[in-house]
Amino acid sequence: MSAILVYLEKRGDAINRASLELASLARTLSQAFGMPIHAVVIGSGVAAGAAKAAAAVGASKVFIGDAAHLADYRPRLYRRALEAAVASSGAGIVLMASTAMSRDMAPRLAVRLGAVLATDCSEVFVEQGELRVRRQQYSGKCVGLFTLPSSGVRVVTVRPNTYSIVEAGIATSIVESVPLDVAADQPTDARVVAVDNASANSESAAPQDVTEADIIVAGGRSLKSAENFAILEALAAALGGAVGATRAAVDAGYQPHARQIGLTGKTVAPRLYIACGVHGAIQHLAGMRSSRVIVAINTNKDAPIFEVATYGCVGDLFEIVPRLTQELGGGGG
Amino acid sequence: MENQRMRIAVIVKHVPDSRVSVRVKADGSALEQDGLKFVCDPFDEIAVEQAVQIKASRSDVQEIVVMTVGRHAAAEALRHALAMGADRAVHVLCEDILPHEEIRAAKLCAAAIHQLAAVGRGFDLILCGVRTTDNGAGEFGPALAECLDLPHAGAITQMTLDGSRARVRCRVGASTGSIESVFDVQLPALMTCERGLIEPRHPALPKLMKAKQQSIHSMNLSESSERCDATLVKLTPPPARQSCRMIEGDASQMARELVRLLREEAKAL
Repeated sequence: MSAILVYLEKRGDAINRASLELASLARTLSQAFGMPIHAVVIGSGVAAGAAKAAAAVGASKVFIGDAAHLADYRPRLYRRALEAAVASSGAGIVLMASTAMSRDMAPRLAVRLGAVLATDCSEVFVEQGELRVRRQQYSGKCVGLFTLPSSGVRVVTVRPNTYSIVEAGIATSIVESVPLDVAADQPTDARVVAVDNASANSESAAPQDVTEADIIVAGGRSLKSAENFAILEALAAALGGAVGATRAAVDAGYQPHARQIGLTGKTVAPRLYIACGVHGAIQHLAGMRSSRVIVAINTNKDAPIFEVATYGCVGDLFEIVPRLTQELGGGGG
Repeated sequence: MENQRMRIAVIVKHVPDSRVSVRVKADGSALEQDGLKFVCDPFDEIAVEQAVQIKASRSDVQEIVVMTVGRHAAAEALRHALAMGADRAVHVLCEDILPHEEIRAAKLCAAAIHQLAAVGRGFDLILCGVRTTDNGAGEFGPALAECLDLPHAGAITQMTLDGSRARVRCRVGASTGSIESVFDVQLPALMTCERGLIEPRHPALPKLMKAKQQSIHSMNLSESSERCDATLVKLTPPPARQSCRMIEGDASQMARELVRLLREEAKAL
């Protein structure tokens, strides 16, 4: 019988939160198709925590690719490890969180396996006995409903923050660990020579990619300078979120490209998006309109950002944001 | 590559201009084509610019070949790339390909590249956008690399070429938890280009006019009937949002009320 294989992406010393969010979906699909849940972990020194992480997504078996040469992500090497896991597991459905890494690797895996791929899905469900997904197209201006074949391997990547983490309640008895033998790389694979933690402020504050953040505090050109983004950093810190920016703010040099949200930047869907001094150009809305709750703070009551916002404050962000930070028990203000 | 001259391929896609709004056909099968303006994808423009800059900075670049997989009308994207500085264009014709069929496009493109390599040398460097603004999945680049059995570097924001070795900065974190990594890649390889890599030029009118006259090599290729992409059931506009609830008062009152609503009503904190 084929299985559902959940890829548990290693992130720093832990498993990426976005991977653990796949638990409830894995369970739904497992019940609908009568398939067991398996998990796979790849990295160096990952064996120790693998069974616990696998249990968190309800897996009965975990495939572990643990070797020194697997420490850093390399596209072909990781693809090969996953390919081995799919073969050992007999997986029919592979679930991954849609992270920068899986977006880079999943297409290679799908081609290799002759699988059908659905990337960055905002909804995955079973209807009329078929595996179906919804995903945004045309920068969020349309939502496409797609169906996947009922046989063969299907690879589905799910947008982070789509499902909540199941804190408890999945009863997993014993997780069987299966080591994967992944040969060292071909010399032609891209090789990591350096890692940039530029946006890491400290050990405790891991660099957070805006696409995976639960809460985003975003600023536009009306912040007026790179230094003024400090008030957004303070609010983000108080909320445990990340800072994002509009294209105008990035073009003005206030923030790095990596934090740009919108059409030519990143697409995000956090639980809470606080837009500070963001006008709401169509290109920016394209990147954040599917956020669950949107707060807009802007002096212009006619700014288009209010059309997508859940809550709106017409006022000066320089007055409101520090008070908000204070209200939340953060410093400053 | 001392004796061999470098050949670069850039793959582009003809996509609806993302700056304008789109409408869905009543039956949900596709976008309403009426009034839809198509352009060369902005991420692919970055790839074209990168290729043109490499050619300008090195004496050993033999040619830049721009390729696309798509309908007859997609030739416009090729002409745009020619006007930007590509040397010649190859059009893999496929009238019924849908925007989300990225793996199918990669397989067709790989078949075309194999066929071109059979009569000449293969490409040393293949560039494309990290994703396209129509489907947004970014499956094409890594899929093409796999089809061609080449290494790839995804989402590059910086690139330095030293002979046949490239050092690139990628917005694909290593397992250590970073958000950017630096990779060394030995050519031949494929790279997908992210915004921030280079600012694409706007070709001048005479160049656009000249590109209109250039011949385009068209290819018709057979493909396997095997399904490699999901099947579109229906396209719909995104669900409408409830209207915005405005919070009144001075800055302190607004902050207090907002935190209360986020905690109690929206349960977002």
